[in-house]
Amino acid sequence: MGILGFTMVSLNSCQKDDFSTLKDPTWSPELAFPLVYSELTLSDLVHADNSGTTVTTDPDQFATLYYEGNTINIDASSIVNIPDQGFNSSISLNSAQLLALNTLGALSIQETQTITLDPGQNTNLDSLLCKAGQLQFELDSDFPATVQVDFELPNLTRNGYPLNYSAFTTNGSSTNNTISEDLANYKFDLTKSNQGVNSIDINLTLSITDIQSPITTQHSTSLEMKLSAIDYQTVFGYFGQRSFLYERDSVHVSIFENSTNFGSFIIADPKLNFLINNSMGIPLEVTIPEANAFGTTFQQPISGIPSPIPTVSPGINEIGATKTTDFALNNTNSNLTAVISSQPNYIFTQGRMSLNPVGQSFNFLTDESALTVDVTMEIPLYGSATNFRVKDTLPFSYDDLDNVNTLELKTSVSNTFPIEAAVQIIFTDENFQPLDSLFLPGEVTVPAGIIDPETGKVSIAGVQDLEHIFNRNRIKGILNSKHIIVNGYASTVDAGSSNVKIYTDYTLNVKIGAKAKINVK
Amino acid sequence: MKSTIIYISLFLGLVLNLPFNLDAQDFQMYNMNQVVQRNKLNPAFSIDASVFAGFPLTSSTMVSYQNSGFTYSDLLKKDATDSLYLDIENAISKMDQQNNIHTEISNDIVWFGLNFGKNTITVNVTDKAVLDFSYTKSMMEFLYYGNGGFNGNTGNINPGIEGSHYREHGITWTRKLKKNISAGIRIKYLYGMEHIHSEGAGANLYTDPNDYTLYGYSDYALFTAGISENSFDDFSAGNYLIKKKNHGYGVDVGLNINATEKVELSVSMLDIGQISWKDEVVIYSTHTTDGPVVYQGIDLDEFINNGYSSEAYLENLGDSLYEAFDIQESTDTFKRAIPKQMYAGANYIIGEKSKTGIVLHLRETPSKTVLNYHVHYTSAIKDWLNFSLGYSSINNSQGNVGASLVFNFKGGQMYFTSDNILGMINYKNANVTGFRAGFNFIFKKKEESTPKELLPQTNDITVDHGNIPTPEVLEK
Repeated sequence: MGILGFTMVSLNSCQKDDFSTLKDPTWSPELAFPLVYSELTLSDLVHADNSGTTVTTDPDQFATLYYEGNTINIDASSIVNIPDQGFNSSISLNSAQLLALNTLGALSIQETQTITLDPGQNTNLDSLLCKAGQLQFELDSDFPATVQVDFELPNLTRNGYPLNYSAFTTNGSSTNNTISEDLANYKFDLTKSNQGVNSIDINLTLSITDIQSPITTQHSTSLEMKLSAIDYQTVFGYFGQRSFLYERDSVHVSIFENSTNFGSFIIADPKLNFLINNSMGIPLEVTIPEANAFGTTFQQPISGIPSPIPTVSPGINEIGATKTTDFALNNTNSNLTAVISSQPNYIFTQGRMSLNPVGQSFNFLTDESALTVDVTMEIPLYGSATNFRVKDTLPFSYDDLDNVNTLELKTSVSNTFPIEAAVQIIFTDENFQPLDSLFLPGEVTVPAGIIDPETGKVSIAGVQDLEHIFNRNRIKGILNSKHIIVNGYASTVDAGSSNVKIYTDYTLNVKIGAKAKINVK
Repeated sequence: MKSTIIYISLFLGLVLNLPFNLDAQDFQMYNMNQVVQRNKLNPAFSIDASVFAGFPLTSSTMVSYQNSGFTYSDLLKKDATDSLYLDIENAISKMDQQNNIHTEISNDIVWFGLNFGKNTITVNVTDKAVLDFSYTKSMMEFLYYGNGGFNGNTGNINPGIEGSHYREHGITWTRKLKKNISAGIRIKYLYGMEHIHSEGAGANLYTDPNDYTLYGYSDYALFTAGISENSFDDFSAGNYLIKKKNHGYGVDVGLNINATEKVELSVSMLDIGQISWKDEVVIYSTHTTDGPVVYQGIDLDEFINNGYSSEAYLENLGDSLYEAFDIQESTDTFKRAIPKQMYAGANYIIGEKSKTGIVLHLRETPSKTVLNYHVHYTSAIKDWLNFSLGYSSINNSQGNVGASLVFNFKGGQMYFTSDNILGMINYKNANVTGFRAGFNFIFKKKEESTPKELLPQTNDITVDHGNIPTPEVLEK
């Protein structure tokens, strides 16, 4: 057995391989995998998600695009604002009062003062009802006696009762000498003072008792009152003749985001809607001094906007109501069809608002009063296009193809839009010089869906399947590219000779799969 | 991808480097009447000895390697510069559709027995490590060539694996029921150390031929114990060898019948039992219970418009796929039966020391039950040498010529068996190779001595007359 074992081991030993010579294994699998897929709906094509674009549908799924902007947006605080106010008063005793005080050992003095609010901007306020605010009162006295001040604001009332308080000081101490009052639901009647507007009276009674040492004319008592953070529920008066010019507002027409202003694009009945909502009780005049369409290389004025645009204000019996007026530009009262055909990227508008254009009148505001002028571009997708061109340039860097020997791309397109499209993808260097293109010229023509004449909707999708093989040389070209340019041309059916409707259930499905022979070491 | 090929190479390399001393089945052992360890294959087998014991750790050492798919030389080749290279394509071309790799290592730590009357009691403590790996040719083609050639077809990744390392503590009772019938049973306590097995149909990947959309299905679980990455932290021999909580049991039964003076029949069922795996258990599973996972590629709209970076998008995509395949990891304890085996033999007794016959062997693998068979001629030269020659079909591998030798001497024996003796010499071209060998102490009963008074006396010596007629003949 020993001999046998020795023989076995020896024979095995003779067959030993030197694994230090083992070469790195190579592997060339062929992998098939889907690269990308996309089911593009109308919302995707018009970039509805990231541009403020809204796609609406009627019961038949017919699509209308809405692009919204806001030309004017003004609230009550921009018209009437009550700044913080402060009032100071100092009381000293004259000789007669000192004589009486020193004779009788006590004295009471009454006087009335007027507090004036300053709402600014030529504004005369008659009254206001507070929503919030603070009144702070502080009494300081160096009289060597007990000083009591009773004050009353007869025209600042809550539930019919005027605001009144008493404050004390004893020998100049600071005890019980401050008062703070929440003014919520207090009503200011600002017409009762001699000034007639923007003012309110305060009645003061100063009582001096318990004299500790002689009081002279050098002694004094000071009163300080502050009104702060006044916010109103309603305010009445006359708010002056003023004019507000707002910054330019833009509407981004995203459907033309990548267009190159090539070919034609006609919408049969576009609209530019102006919607005015006003809840301010002030006679107003609203105008749109500028309305222009802008493309990358052009500017086109929009005509037909009335000046002023019709605006209605609520009357005194309509406090809190919002009055709405609107008007629309369309293909009969403006040049809007031509404007849309120029494929603009933006519509710019600027609004102006003037208060009391004819002079003195009775005005009011609530804390929620506002004026808004909204502009909406409405594009019902009924029209035609011929060679409507879009182009996009994207940065590109892909080095995962380094080990790829051959690459086969399979493209599958299914289109239910009544639009025929030609697509090309061009790989370029850093100077945008073409290195290769994905398709042969004119090769990818996505056929339009076929319209059922009875329903007017596409019933049969246009489909196309393509295969492209990239050898190593073409792959090297892709590896060196820095950008890809996507070019697309689209025309509605029959080369754009008749109008078509676009429905929201139309889709463009694109799938690209790859089969790659890879070298792995 | 590079790491994948390295892993595959390492795996194949590991498997192919095993064959040094590896053995196939124990067919050659089955009919070696004088080797006590053949009792392992059928508890009804016993030998004519009053006491026998294995030499500790060397009484029976067995290692086994079988690969029905390809040989060492099918995979590793030399080029013109005498450098080695992996010829995976060639190895794949040699595979059957269903293939199995079986490796087994066992060693008797303790083996002894007593024979009294009609009964034999044997005690053994045996360390065993068994690993089966089943794979299909299409799986290897799919992994190596990629799914590009599988358009419109389903690639199935369904490796089956079953492996355990455990220690068997057995006590065997063999009894001669009648003059011509003996039976045996072995009761085993099993102490588990490491385990792995797979369950489920595996993972399927269908590639749409039109746009290469991928449809993935998975139904697969990998049960492990003692082989997770933290299993050998704070390792101590005491804890490893005796304190694990992986306990189990097993039973072997056998029957041997001398149907006639010339015909011997035997049958045995081995490894009926299971182990409860409780220590360091990790179960990995994936099940696509909600239908196939469909991957259509990158959603262009989402990729471009959702504001993700490409890295974030792909990370999200990976997370989504991970969730879709419902990849879970748990530490639930589990029970697992040890793979059962069955032997059946029929021998024709040619003479006092020679016999020939056939042995069938059924063995469970992860993919199916394998039937192996063996024919043999076994004989002896006097009492000191027992030998056998055989031919076997093992793990679908034909042409395995085996041999066994048993050297008996006073008080002991040495033995060596192999089911593919040529495979040991030329293991590079063999699907099956290995051996079992060992050394045993054997003490037989002294033969009863003849009383002196019965021995022939000098006067009683009969003279051989050769051709000379006896007086009786002459009288006639």
